[in-house]
Amino acid sequence: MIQQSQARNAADDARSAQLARELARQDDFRAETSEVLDRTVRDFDQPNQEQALEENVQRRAESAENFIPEGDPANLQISGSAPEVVKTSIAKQMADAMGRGKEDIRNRARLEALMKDTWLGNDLSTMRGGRDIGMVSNFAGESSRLNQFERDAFAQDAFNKKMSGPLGIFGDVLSTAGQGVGLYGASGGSFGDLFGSSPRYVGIGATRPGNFGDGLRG
Amino acid sequence: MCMGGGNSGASEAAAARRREQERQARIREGRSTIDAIFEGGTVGDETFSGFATPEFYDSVQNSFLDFYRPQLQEQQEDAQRQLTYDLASRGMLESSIAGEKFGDLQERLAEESGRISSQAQAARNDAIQRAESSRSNLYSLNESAADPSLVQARALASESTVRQPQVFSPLGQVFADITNQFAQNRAAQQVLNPRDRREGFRVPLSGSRSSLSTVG
Repeated sequence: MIQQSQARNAADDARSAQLARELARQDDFRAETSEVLDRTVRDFDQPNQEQALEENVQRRAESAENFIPEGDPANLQISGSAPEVVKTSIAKQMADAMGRGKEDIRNRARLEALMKDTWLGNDLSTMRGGRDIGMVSNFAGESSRLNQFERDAFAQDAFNKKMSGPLGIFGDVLSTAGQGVGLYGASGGSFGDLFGSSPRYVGIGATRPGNFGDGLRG
Repeated sequence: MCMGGGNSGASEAAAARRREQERQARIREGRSTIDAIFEGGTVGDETFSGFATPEFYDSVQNSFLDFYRPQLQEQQEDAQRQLTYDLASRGMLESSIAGEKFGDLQERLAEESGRISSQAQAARNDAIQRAESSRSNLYSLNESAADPSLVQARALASESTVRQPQVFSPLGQVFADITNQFAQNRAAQQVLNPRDRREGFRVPLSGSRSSLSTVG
């Protein structure tokens, strides 16, 4: 009994030790997941978002303005006899028109930088974070499932080792014998029957006739 | 009752834990391989230049712009020439109307440049999305298979998907509505006034309004 109790305690200790190891692993997974989440959330901070938007607007506007072809000025053949004011007026009108066009480019760049570039960047950031967290979740789940098997295996192993302690198999034999004796006595048997010819009495305390504890004769 | 016995359960458990740790290590290795192939880097003894890089995305955008820039410039020069001839034929080359029309041309040029540039940026974003979608698929495969060599082969094969060639259609007539105004009017006049039907148009000579020259 004592050995069994010790064995059970050993099994419990082994189970607890395995649980502690698994909790440590899960803590590592959780830390890794938190790091990914923090990194992803940082991308959505207002300063980062504003900076990304400005960069996207600048890139779009510069790309569009640099793309405008210069054209061949010789194609614009204003008569040489035209008054200077006419030439100046035409040049000013053309410059104003180009200015309106470039303003339209900047407005378009701001709108598309927000609706397309920045949102794409946010989607990609979320996607990358989701991928990393998914991988760590996969690891944590598999580890947790394995933990169930490990706990039982290590507990059984500790129990077995304790039961195969200093008394060895002898302790098991005594324990089995003790249980057998108990069952025999509860069923009304007596050791006298085993070694002699005493009548068989049923009932607790039934040892011999005339005793207070006489029971029914079986 | 278990009479003594060995530790086969514990050894099995330890072996299972070892296999799981090896699986995780292979998955992490596969991920590193995918990232190196896509973005450039070294895996073991192999070095990859990467095909999903900012330089590649910029090249997609620049290819788009380089294709359409000559066409837009050619159309702009043609339109300017046509407008000059049309205004001159009507004697309006030195008027405020000319300034207005040339201004419309410039404004249209800027608008079209912005539109083409926007499309080039969209092509760039499409390339980015293709690359990330391909990478996500490889990550999923990696977690399922936990086989770095398989993942490496698939990642290298995905380059053709990411770098698929772009298809460009010719630039439409950007300035047609501006240059056709006078052409349509001239055609209508010729129909209404057959006696004015002639080849070419009249352009005042420099410094002399009374001398006219027929050009064309």
